[in-house]
Amino acid sequence: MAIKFKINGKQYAVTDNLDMPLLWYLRENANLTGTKFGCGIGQCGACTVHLNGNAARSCQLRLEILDGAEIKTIEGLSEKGDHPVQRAWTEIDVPQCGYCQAGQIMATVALLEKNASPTDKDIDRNITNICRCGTYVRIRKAIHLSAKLAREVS
Amino acid sequence: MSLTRREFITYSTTGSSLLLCIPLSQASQNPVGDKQQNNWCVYLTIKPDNQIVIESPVQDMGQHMKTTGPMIIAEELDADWSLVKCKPAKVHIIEDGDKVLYRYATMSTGGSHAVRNNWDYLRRAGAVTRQLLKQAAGVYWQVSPDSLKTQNSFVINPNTGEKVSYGHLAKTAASLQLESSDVPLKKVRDYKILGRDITTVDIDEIVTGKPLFGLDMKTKGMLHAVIARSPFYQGKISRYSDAAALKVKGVIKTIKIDLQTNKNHGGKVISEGVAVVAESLWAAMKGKAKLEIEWRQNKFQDESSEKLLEDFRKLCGMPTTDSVAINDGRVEQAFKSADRVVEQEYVTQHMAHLCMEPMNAIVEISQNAVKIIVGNQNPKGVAEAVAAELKLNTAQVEVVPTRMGGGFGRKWQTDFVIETVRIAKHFDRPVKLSWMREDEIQQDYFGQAVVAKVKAAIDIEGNISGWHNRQAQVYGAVHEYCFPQGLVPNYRVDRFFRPSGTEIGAWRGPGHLQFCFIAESMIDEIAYQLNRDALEYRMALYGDVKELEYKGYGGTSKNAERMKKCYQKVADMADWKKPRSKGVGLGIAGHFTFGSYAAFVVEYDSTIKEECKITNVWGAIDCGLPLNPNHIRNQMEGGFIDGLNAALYNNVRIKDGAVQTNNFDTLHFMRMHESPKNIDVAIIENDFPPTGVGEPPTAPAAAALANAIFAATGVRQTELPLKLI
Repeated sequence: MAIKFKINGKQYAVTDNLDMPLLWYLRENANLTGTKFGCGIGQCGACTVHLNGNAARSCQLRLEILDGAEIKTIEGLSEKGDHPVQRAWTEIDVPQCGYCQAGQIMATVALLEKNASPTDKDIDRNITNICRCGTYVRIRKAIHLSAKLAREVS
Repeated sequence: MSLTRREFITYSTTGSSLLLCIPLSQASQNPVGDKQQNNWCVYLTIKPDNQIVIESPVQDMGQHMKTTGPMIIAEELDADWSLVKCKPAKVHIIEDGDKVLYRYATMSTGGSHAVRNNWDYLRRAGAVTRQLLKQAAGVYWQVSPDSLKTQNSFVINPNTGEKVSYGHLAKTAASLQLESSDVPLKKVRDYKILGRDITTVDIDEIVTGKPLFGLDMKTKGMLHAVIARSPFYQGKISRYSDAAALKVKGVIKTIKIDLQTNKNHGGKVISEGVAVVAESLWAAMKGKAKLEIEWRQNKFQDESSEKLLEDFRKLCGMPTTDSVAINDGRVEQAFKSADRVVEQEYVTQHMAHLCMEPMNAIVEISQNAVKIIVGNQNPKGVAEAVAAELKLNTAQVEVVPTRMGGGFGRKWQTDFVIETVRIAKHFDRPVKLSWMREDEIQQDYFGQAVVAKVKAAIDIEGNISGWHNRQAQVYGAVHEYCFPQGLVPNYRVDRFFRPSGTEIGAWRGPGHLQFCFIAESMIDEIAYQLNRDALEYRMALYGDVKELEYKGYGGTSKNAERMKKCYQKVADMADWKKPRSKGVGLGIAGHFTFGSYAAFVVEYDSTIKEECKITNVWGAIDCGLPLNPNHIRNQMEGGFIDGLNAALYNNVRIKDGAVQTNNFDTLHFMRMHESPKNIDVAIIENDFPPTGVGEPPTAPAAAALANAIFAATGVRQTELPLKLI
């Protein structure tokens, strides 16, 4: 029995290792290392992807539940790296070590798709990814800027 | 800047590349761990299309030296920054007798030393290259190079208006001899790149998820390994069975890793364990879950966080001549004649590094050589350790460094590389070892927990006439030369060490957060008891002192004026004198770390129920000439948040000789909603040589927050973690 799902629009089918978390499938099998491993227990958010349009922590998603799923990773966010969130991140120059940032960006994109003008409180409640380097001040600024840039595009 | 007749530049080309070897001036500081060398080099490629590729030697773990280093070169080179690309430098090592040295440029990173140590030679590299290009243009136009100017990667003849690109001149430049040994450096006022808010060079790759980190790397034919380890300190395997593990599809072999204790502090114990090696990471993880291992405790089975603190307390009560770290004046006399004595006990807990990217390495051993792909703060140390392990010389060890997802002092060690080597020895394919989060925490060495009993003698005028700190910890610096040493006439520090299973190592500004928490809380308390303003009291304490001796890593002097400027600046930013409403308070703290001065004010609102009670933060830093204000501000924000996290949550719990808090569910890390929404940063502008910013912002955080909570609530907390009352 094959589990079939799409990653960034491309079709995948798996029959083995159905208990493997999607995180490892992405990094090791699909060769998409943008999604990071931080804790393995769903705490840190470094592994955040979009599952059917919602932010999800891929270390907690076993392949066997993904039949028919549409998954988006950081690599699939834009062709040229110019999604409004990516542009905002670049303008504010958010990262330090950079390891958590793909997850932060994916969580932010998911938030903005549901709430085009998040307040600071909305950000507090919805962005719970860990940034060990402490770039939260810049992440917050970049989220507000992303919202502005997204409005300009639309 | 003149080169003596003995020093000269050597350079060579491959294709259009210019490889410069530039002698170090005697005036440059001696870098950490490396001997001063005569032939450090900078590798520059100037392409015919005028693009420049600069190999950035210093490892990047988020402190952005990969951007700053090339900025320095590009400035003196008069390059157009938009034409500059940066890539990590290859690691070149040579053996010189019994010493192992970096062949070209120091690549190790730590101690906020990169900018401080590389400032001179990186500028010189850029200036010399520019001079050669001018000479090449002189040849090209048959004019004297002294009549020419440079701008944005072009040489210009002001007399004719003609210009020629560096790309066009590079090959010629490389074939010339430097005419004059007198190559001028730019004046600060002429800087076009330094001092600007330049964006991180890796930003595009980071926001698009390109593979940058060690954990992202793959090589052909690679095997994967994970290790099941002793759950307690220095545990040993009584017996184990890998029968079930070997049945997992993809698992190839298991390798026993023997316990290796390390007598040299700063090193790291390698825990006993069983490595599972498989065709895939998932298979290795599944195999590890199927191992059956019987462990036996070693001698640390009673060790716990509480027991360690208890023992520290006992030690503090027993000063001997052996325990003295510093003894200025006569403290006993000061206490005898004191008008008032203030006594406090301060406690900090063990702090984990929590590198977001857990440790990993890829090792490929072939006949007479080995290749290591690893994110590490000390590539030379990696080469040395691996060479020793495999009985090779370092020329046979190729180290390919990657970006690190955090380092903070933990990735200076080579334990995780040696583990990988010991596994890879059994295979003729490359082996990649991946640590899980539990490994990263349990195999950590921590920022030291301390108990410090401090007594201060206050004279009739309200001056601190005596200061006696008795501090106990497992190991590590007590920083006895930090302020208020030199400001207090009778000043004594006793330090006590208690060997234990808990390992201590360099944690972002080792010992400085602890020192600052103790000293700045104490000064704050003294000011309060004397009914003096916390800022005014500090300024009075520094008085008219200018510069004092400093002993310890990071410099030979500490400048009181620079420290005072930071306090005043940050107080002005916070509108220090403005009264705050009931339940709201301001706390101030400052510290000198490794050459830079930083002070912060925290505003705390104890009446807030649902949001972060840290309502405002202001920070001022003096790191000498600011090279990239954007990145300085980022470090000030992030470093301070790291310090806040240390004050509130970074509390490793040890029980029964084991680290119990081994993932983020039990060892909390500050989230967005728990951190201040805004941190306003001012950079004090001056012409002092640039010093680092990786560590200085972290040290004042615990004291600034504790002092703010006190100001807001009247409750003085002297033990970390602080409660947000």
